[in-house]
Amino acid sequence: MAEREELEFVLYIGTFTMVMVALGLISFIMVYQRKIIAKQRLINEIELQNQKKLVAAEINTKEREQKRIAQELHDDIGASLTAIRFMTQQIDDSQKIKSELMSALGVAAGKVRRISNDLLPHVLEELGLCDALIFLTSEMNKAGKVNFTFESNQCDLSRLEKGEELSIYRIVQELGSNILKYADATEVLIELKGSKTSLVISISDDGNGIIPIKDERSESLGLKNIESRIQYVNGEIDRRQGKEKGTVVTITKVY
Amino acid sequence: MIYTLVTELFSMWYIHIYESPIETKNNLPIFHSYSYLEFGVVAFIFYKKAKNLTWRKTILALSIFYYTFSIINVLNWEPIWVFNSNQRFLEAILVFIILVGFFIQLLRNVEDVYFERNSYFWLSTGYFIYFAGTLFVFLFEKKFTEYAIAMPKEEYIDYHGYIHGVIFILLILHYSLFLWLKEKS
Repeated sequence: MAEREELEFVLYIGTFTMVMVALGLISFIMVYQRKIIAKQRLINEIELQNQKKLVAAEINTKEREQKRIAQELHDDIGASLTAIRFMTQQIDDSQKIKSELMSALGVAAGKVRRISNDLLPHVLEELGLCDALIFLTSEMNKAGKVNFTFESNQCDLSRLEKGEELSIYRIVQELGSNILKYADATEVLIELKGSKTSLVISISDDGNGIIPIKDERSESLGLKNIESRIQYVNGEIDRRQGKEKGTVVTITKVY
Repeated sequence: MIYTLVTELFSMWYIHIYESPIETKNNLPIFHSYSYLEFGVVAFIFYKKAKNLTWRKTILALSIFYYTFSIINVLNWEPIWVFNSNQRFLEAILVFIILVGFFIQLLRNVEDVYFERNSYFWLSTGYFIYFAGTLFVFLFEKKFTEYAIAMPKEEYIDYHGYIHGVIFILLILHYSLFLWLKEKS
């Protein structure tokens, strides 16, 4: 009888201990898994930050190089071409040759100015994003195919850093260029809405869409550039079909 | 669950038919066969869930070891009319190993953010609690059966049977949760 009671005692204690060990192990697994997930999220966050830094460094390096080339073109080659033009004016021998030479030099100087401006929008450097977008709109209107209109409720964008301004300008430039190439649009409206907390730029057209949806996941360099720049400015981009036709692209940057 | 129910009903019918001395005729052969199938089902479920080939082979090896031991056990130490304590104890240990392997696999899989939404997690915890809780019950059951035979039927109170009942209810609850989550997903 005593042996049976002893055995029962061992059974109760043993069973209780085993159930507790099982419950403890299950709880430990659940807590440990949460810790792993939290750690994983932290690692992902650090990797994302590193990626952002890399993108920023890449964009800055590219812009610095473009600025250097633009300055070289503008200050060195541009100045040389202008000097040659003035010198050519003083040649009296043949009026026809002189005028052809003048014309060719004028074209060359114009090209240098355009390339220089494409590489580094001077108007952005000097007057800021709002005026640069007005200038960009007028430049794109020169193509004659599409009527670009720019509207803004706020031109004081002092909260934006220079690099961010340049990135937003490049995004609009890339989207505008895509509209000219592929959208088959007639009217494009670029709107800039600024507030104390955010900046919203929307580009809407009445064409077939900026890039066909099937190319959405393509390895397009332009799209990749836009994505990197959006990441650089910590912004968001939204693309959707217009109410009747065309596409509306909205870029939002929250301060 | 259906198999358990059928086994229980069949056992009741079987013992009713053979009202004879417990050491010679009882319904333990059904429990033996139930144990073989129970381990087979658990091993098969977690064999199918295993993603690692080596681990799959390990589960297969553990199953072969279990069934080999069961045959030797029945032939030498615990015939089908005797409670299979050795076999149940080994089954519990092997199931623990298989379940720990499954838990490690779950922990390594970062896609499973929330375990409580994974139906197989609840199935495995159910088995874990059941086999942990009944480890001592089944280990001493053979001895308790001897006491039960020696005592008048009216005087013998099967407390460890109640313990098994409570833990078995927990397992059924885990089964229900598993089926509910599986249906939901």
